[in-house]
Amino acid sequence: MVLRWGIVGVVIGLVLVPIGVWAATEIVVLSASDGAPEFKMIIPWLEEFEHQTGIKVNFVEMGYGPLHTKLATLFATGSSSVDVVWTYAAWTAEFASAGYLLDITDWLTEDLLSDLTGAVTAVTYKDRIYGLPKFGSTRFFYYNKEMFEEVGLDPDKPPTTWTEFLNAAKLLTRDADEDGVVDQWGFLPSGVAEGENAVMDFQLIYMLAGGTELFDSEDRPLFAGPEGIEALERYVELYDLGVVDPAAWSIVSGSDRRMRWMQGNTGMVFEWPSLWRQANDPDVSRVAGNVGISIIPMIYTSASLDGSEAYAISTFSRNKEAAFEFLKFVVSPEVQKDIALRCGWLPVRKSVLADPALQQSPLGPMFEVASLQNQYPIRRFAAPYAQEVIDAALGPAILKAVQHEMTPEAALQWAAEKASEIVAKYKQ
Amino acid sequence: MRGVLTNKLERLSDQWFSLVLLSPTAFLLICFALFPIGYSLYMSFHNVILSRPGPYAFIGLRNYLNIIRDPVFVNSLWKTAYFSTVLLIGSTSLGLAVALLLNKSFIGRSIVMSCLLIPWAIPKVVNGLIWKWIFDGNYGIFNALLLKLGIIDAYKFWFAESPVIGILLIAIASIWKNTPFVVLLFLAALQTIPRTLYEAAEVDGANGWQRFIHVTVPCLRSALTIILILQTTWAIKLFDLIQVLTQGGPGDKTMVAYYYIYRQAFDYLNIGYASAGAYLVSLLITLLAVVYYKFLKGSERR
Repeated sequence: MVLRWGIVGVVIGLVLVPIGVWAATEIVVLSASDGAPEFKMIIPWLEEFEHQTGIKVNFVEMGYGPLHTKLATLFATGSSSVDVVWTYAAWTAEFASAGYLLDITDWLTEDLLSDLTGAVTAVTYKDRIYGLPKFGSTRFFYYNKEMFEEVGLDPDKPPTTWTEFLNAAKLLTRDADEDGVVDQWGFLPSGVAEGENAVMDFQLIYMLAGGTELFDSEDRPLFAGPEGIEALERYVELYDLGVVDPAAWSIVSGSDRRMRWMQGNTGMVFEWPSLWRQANDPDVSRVAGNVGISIIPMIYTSASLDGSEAYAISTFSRNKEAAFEFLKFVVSPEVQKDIALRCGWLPVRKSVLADPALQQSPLGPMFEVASLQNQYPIRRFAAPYAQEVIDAALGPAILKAVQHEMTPEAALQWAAEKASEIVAKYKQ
Repeated sequence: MRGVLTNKLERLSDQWFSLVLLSPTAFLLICFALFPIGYSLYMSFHNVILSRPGPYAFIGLRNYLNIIRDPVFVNSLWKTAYFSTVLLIGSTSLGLAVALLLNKSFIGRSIVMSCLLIPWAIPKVVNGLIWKWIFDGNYGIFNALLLKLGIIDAYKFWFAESPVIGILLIAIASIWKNTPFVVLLFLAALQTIPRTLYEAAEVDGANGWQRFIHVTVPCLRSALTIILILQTTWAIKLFDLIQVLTQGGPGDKTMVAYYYIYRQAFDYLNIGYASAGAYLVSLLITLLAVVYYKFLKGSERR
């Protein structure tokens, strides 16, 4: 009798133990790079998350290009193999509009919502929220104090208007070693040869000139209006004056641009927050100790671009609650403070940004400027058709204007017509 | 009667056995070649944008009509044709010249041949990176050379200059990579030409040029046709060098057909539109192959 019950017990045990093992929820997070090996943001915290929640995390990192294609195919096939996906403003618009991202607006408490910074725009589409930001990022104005001093500019008084910026750019462009060849330049743009970089600069100047969105709510192009023409004229003027670092023609990525600026041959650049930490690291930067930072100089107002990154939940996920736990963990004050202080990005919570520990850290000046820049508009071109419009319409139009193949007005008109054709394809 | 039946059964059994042997290959071909080809044709008639939720609307020939009216695609076809022409003329003439040289015996011939194979052995992406450095507008040796020779007075970003220059530079990088292959094919063909033909021509009083035109060239026609078909196909399918060197830019200055189709499919996820473009380019390759084939047949008859 005992033996019989013993056997029954063993059988039940054999059945229940594996069930117990499988019962531990596991979520799959498909993410773009979490940062350079020594500055990983989320990976160092995964163990803590698993310990706190009992939820296992399979964190998969991929490059942006393959990640976009992988997400599109996963979504198109309704795959539930991924729970949390990396996103930013443009992808959120693309995938949320297709119904592939879970609308979590009603899951968020009022306390959390009111404490989130503008970084939440990375997961906002048509006033609904589809995820939570991982870190905040906006463009700031960086300048080389040593170069400023060499040409007689006050290193503690960065340009605050576009006119001052232009004057500084002219002074900074010179033949420093007097060998007959210009070897220092005033300004390093994001990069004109690659569409996305060119459009980022254009959009920023467009906002400085009083422009708002590049398309209206009916998806009609707005960028060919007076603000757009003024913005492109001012952008072209920079090239015509010869103050642009020629490296802009071969820059295709943000890391190319940052490396170039840290070589110390260019006076000014518009860059993301993490440049402050990198540029002040003497191991990788020749401008360490000479980095100045300020808000973007005004034409009619200051403004900035949003580069915040975020995580969202796939509509097809079978572990939505566990995925939401992960999102909440990422925005927790401890994680956010660590990302800010260790990696040099902006925290996504106002309460963390106001933490004195941040202001007193070596990154303090950057956080101080972030608070000032936050008072002005911060946007990013985000629409389901954004990438194609950037590559096939707006990017080439900016290049045509810079190379004087078209006037800024004609180039923008051409881009607006091309963009309308592209938008129509997405509305069929 | 029994013998006939046995033969029939054996034949039937042989047929079944062949079918069984072929079935795994046939299955793989159906799954990974025929089905994707057929499905992409299906998608080319639908407005398939992968980032949009399905079902995707049937739009008939609209993708085809739109893409042949798309100025970027049409320009990309012209750029592809220009690239193909430069590549064909460059690598074929250079390959033939080098093959003729290597067909003679001289000291160090085997060393030269081994060195010659290096570009062909280098992976395509590495080849692209080498040329990216050479043509770089900030530190490239190409600019340094032109500056030293007094041809330019400042470094230039050549790919931004014009599509003609940009594509020409990409063709130069491709010629460097492809010429060794052309040399090998020509060399193999040259070594099959009987010595007696040259001796007979010499007896008839033919000079070096006449021997080349009347003996060498006709004997190289088959090799030339193969080289033309392969090089044209590779040229039309140009992708790797563009990806590494320019990604079709600046703007769309170096955008060739295959790269444009790739961007439509994998960057913008316009799978239907890209499928239509891919079918048009495939049609073009098929037409060219037919022309070359006719040329080969015609030359064989002569």
